[in-house]
Amino acid sequence: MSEAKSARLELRLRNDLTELDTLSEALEEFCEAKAVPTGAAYHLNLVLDELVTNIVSYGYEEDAGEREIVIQLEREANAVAVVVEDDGVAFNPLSAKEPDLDASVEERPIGGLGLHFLRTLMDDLCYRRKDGRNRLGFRKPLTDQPNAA
Amino acid sequence: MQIDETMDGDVLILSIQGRLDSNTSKQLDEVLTNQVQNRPAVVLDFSGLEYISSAGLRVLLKGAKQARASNGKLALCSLSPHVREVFDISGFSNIFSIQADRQTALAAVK
Repeated sequence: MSEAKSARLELRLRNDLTELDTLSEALEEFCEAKAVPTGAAYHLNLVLDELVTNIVSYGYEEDAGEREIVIQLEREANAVAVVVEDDGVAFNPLSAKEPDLDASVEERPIGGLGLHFLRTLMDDLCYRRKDGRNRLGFRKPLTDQPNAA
Repeated sequence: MQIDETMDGDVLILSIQGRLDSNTSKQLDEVLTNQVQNRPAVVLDFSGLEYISSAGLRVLLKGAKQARASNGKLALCSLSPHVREVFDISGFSNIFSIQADRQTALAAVK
């Protein structure tokens, strides 16, 4: 690819869950090429999967038609910086409630885990709503240990 | 994602291969919902499971609730370190019987 030397990747996904395969394949390629450890690559895939799933499932009206979710990744010296943008309904993931992780099987609510992964696995979260678009930024720090949690 | 079904005595073993995400979780939901209500014990073998998201956990939680309601047993086995970590972060390690391999999982549900 012509962008082989670039530390950046821009992904444009349709609002369709089958795009999760496109996401995982592109991420795998990016992380391999940029020497991102497998543990961090898995975390990036998990968090982006959860965000895209949320946007596709709840971000648009039933008859919204085809829309675009834009993901930008940048390999920094000791981190991967990520920006996710969509034109769905306003939603601030930073203000969502934390799930009760100690609840039993019967009491365990279904939902809320995706954003828990975001807050647990990523740093430097920032959200902005501007011109009808959600813009979520975060960073995955890369430690010296390849598979560190 | 691929789901293989095999029997060991009364125990149904479901081997999951591939990725369990919001795009594929419905497939497992259909199989698991049907089977946990009709079988005394189900083992989910995750040795071929490359990836799981919260959509996958959701289906497993639903299956665990149904198993409990019908007095059935459910155990998981052979989780990769990445998959295991997702269970740990979400607190799901505490609500499932997670076994090292298929043999110990079979022993756990018998």
